[in-house]
Amino acid sequence: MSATARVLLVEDDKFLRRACAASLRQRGFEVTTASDGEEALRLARSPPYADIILLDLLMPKLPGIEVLKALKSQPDTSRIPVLILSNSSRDDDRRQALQLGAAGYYVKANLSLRELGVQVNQLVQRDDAN
Amino acid sequence: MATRSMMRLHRLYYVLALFNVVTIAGSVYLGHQMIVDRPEHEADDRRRSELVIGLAVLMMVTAAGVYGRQLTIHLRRNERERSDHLQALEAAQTALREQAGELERRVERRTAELASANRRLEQFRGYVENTSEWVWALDPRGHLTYSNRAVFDILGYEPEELLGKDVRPLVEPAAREATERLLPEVIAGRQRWNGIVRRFLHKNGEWRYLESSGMPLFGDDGRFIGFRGAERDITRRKRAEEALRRSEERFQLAARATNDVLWDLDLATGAIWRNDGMRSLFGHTEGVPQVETWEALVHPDEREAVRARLQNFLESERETWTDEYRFRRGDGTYAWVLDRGIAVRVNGKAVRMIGSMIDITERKEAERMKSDFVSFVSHQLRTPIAGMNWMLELAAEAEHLPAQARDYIAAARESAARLSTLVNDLLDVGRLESGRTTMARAAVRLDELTRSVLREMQTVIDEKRHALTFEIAGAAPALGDEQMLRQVIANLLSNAVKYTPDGGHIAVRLTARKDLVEWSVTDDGMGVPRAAQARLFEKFYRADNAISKEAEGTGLGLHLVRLVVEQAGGQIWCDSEEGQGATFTFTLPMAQQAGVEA
Repeated sequence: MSATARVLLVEDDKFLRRACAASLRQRGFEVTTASDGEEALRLARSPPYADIILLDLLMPKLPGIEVLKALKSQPDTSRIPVLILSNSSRDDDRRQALQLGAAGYYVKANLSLRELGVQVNQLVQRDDAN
Repeated sequence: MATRSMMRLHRLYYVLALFNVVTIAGSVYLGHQMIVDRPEHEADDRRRSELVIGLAVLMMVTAAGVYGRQLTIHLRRNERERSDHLQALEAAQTALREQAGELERRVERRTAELASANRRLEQFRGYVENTSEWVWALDPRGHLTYSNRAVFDILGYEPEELLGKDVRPLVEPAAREATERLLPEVIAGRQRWNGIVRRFLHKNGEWRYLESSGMPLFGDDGRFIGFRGAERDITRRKRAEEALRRSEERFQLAARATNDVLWDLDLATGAIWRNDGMRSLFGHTEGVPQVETWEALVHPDEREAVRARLQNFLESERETWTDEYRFRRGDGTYAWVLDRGIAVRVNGKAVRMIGSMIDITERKEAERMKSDFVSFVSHQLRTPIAGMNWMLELAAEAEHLPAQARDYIAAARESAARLSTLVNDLLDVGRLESGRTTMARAAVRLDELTRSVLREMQTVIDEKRHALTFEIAGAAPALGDEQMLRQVIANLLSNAVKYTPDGGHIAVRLTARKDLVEWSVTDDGMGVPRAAQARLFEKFYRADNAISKEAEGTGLGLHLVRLVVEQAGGQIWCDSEEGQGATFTFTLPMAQQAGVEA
């Protein structure tokens, strides 16, 4: 990692937000958080752009899927890898997210912070390599 | 003709001859008298007398000669005539003989005919005596004058008990009166009767149904002399008809009482009989009389699939067909129905189907709500579970923690992980049961999948010091959903690890047979009681010995395993003796090598 990677964490549950942010910071990431879809889009579109976005699906104001579509439709944000962190293990949700260009799809309750750290690291480094 | 003229000629000769003899005898007598009367007469007298005698003798000789000649001629002629006559006689005799022979033959034939008629009569008598019908004759007063033995089998009386008696009291009163009313007409019209069914009282007090046929009898003078007829015992048929009628009535009542549509499909014509359910349940006033009309009412999205499944069933040898589909009501809305039927097959070909169709719209709605509820709750549960997991993970990583707190945190993490698994299982089961998930059907390498799962479980296996072997006798790819099959293998392996005491032996085997891939795991653990084996794969079921060993199972693991395996077209079963370990085996269809990426 050349510089500190910036992570935009979009999560409406405050405990999850807190735990996730703490873990990522411990691993050396710079973390910005958003608690709904609109805030997420606003932050994502304003520089400095995040190196990776962690996106919840079920959120107030704007659902995660709409946020994902918007991000992928704008050249500024379309290249930022997006990891979906959802509560849904439904195939349809997973398929839709991956089709819209999500870099990965995880069910939060089945994912440890350690694993999340590994995934984020990999995506950021791959992004760097490009 | 010749004979008669010949006889006339004979008589003529006879008269002539007689006349000659008389004449000659007279002449001889006259001559002799002359000699005797006049012995003293002179010699010329004597000579005269001697002349007369001589003349007479001459005449006699001449007459004899003439007669003899005539006789000879006559005899000769006679001879000829006799020969003609003989010939005629012989011819007549021959004719006579022939006639006699013919007569004899006729007599023989007639005798044979008579014998045969006699035999037939005997046979007929035998038939009448031995037929199962009661053959009878009555005199004008209704008294029995003849009865065969069948009356014993039918009414329990020997013929002798009834002969000469009035048998009408044996007929049930109502029928007896009806018969009495008919008789004058029968006699006056010289009518036969047939098919009249009456009840007779058997000697043992039971009623028997007898079907009567008969006719009035008349003497040569036209006088009515009685009746002759026969009674056939149709009690069994009557009882069967009665039973059938009752059963039909029961069916009709049930068909009216039920809330289901009952149907009977003739596969040759496509015609369907139904009870009133189509109107009362679905508001189809016109009925649904043909298989085509029924198909047209199946939801368009499902019509093809329903038709294909029915066709598939008809071509199979299965006995029952079950399907669920959306069915259009009379008002255009759709109801969910459960349709079930059995096929009647003749020489393996289905000719008829009978079944029932019930409205399961409410049940479907409830199922959907339940499934939505489970899904909602489960998803909502996942947020706090993730919060717990993550916070505890952070806590566990904290520095300077007292050993006791570290311990507590580890325990809390384990509980949270179990909660996580439970929610996952609930969601998976719900999804598989609702059929909302279509599982992928791809080639899956079970050998690689098993190794991957074993790697993940290595820590637990080592902790329990189990000896584990993995034997691959054939590693053909199976057809299924890799993600779900991973869970199947994980569940079965974790059960084996969990329910086998420390230091146990666990053997995993993978075999390929014909078009199946077979996977099994054998342990030497506590085993599954026989009674539990059948219920082992039911939802929420847990064997008693499993509960006593470990209270934390959900009863969902094996149910989920079965759902996955069966939906992939495979089978799963358990072989075990309690206390002697268990073997869980599942099969999956083998993926065709060609065109499928293994």
